[in-house]
Amino acid sequence: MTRTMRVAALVLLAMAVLAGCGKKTMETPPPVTPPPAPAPQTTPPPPPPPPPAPVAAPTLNQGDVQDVFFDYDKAELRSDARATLTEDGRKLVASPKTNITIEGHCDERGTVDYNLALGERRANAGRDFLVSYGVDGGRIKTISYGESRPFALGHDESAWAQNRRAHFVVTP
Amino acid sequence: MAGWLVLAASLVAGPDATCLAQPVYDLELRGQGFRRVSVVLAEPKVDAAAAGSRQVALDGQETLARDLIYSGFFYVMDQSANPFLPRGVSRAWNVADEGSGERPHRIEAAWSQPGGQLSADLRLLDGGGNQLLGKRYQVGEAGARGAMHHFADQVVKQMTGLPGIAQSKIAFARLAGKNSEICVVDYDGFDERALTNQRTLTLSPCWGSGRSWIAFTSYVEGQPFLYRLDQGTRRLRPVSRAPGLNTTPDWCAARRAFALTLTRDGNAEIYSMSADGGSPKRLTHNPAIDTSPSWSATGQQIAFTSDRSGVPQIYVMDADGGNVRRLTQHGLYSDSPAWSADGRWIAYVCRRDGEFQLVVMRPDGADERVIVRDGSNDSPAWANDSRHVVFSSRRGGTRGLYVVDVYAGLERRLISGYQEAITPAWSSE
Repeated sequence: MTRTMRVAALVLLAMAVLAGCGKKTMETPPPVTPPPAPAPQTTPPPPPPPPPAPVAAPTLNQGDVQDVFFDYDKAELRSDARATLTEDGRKLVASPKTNITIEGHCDERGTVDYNLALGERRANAGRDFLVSYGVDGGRIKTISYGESRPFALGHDESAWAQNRRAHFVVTP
Repeated sequence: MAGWLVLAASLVAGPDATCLAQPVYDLELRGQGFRRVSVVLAEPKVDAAAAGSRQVALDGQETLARDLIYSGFFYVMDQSANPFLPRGVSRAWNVADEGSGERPHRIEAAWSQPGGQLSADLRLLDGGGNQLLGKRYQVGEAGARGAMHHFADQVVKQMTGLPGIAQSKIAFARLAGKNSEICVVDYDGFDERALTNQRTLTLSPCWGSGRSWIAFTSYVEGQPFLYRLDQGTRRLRPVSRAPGLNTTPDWCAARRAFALTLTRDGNAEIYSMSADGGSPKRLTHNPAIDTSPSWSATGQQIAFTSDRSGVPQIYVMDADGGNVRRLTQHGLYSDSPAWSADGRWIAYVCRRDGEFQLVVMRPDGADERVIVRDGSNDSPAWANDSRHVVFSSRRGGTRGLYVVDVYAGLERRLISGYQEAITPAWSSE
């Protein structure tokens, strides 16, 4: 209650007491209209304070997710591949908004038909490892290019070793 | 001995050199008393009204000579009794068999221009001068090649009872930078043209019956899906867009069905489906890679590649996927089986000493013979005559297409050009 209203209430009380004391023809006192409350302010409410900046990991860049390499005609993960994939998995788990495509590739020496399937197997090997590690499978697509999109164009083991890989592409 | 003997072969010195692998010819055709038929190709007669077309007539004669030589059934001479050597044809392809002394057959061509339309009258005569065949062809602006190919097939049919291949075509993937497009060329290497312009990876073309369409795998939508290009309407239709691979298609005319590789189940399995991708049916059930199917001509069986033993080997199964049998027992990396139209051979490639050799074997796996030893070979495909095979081969570092006469052990280079060519398919018609 505001002070004005308290005063008005006391006045009313006082007049009611007086009205009840001896005067029969006490006129009904005129109703006390409390003074109007102050008009509400029309200024806009102050803007809410900005939310605190999210402490999420930055999105990964293309070079952050490292490729893994395979032996000839194989899709098994070597120990060096497992180490790389562990690190890739760690980064991917810490960066949940990053999606990837894993491309499976083969060197030129096998046959076209079998290499398409072997490339798929290599991509899947990378995918399965990451899913086991804890990366949500919905974030990972796979595709095989067989021997059709080599990285190194030479015809020797140093080129071939470059081409037997699972290649990670960060997708928007 | 399983027939692995390979005669001391000269290295393939050039695209037209003979490959001296142990030919199947020695045992198969000679044993039936087969000898090449000698035929003289007379100089074309060009009458005065058609004099402006003399070169067309001469080119036609050369095309016809090439067709007869490339069939493998003829020794072709000019009218001076010298071996006829069309441009690009190796001497080794046109060799007489030991004769019986019979007089050679004869082919005559008479060119005229009745009513302004260039016409060629072609006749096949036996050694006694009796006419065996006679046909008149109208030759338009497209030239005489079509007419000559047609007549050559008639001659082959007349003399051997077998289907000719002179009108057939070979589809393949021609690399262009990091992409590839489907192209078609006449079986003799002429008139190559591109069928697709998708600027992506396309490969493994597969002919439909009557050359009414070509199916192939393309990454045009970002994934390896199977499409069909209809030759009449030039419309491209999707056939199979399952997640993963939709690759290595093979068409069975008898069943009107594809066999192909899908990885939708998590690993490569062979499926059959109709021409528009309907009624897909899974045929293999094995966590191994099962791929590269090839129908038998009757459609009752499918040869395929599987690495269920640990190494890719050739297997065969019934059309419903039952009764799977392993054909290759040697354990050498094998792939890309191709079943001949007459049902007698399965060709495939097999890696020995680091190189992929082109091999044929019986449909039960027996009687294996190396047909092409050198060059790292892949993707064999039979012509309808069950005698010639087109394949890709990496010689001198880049992959090109070659044709081998399995029975005579002769090779020829199909196309030139510095861009690689892979995954050929030979039309049945």
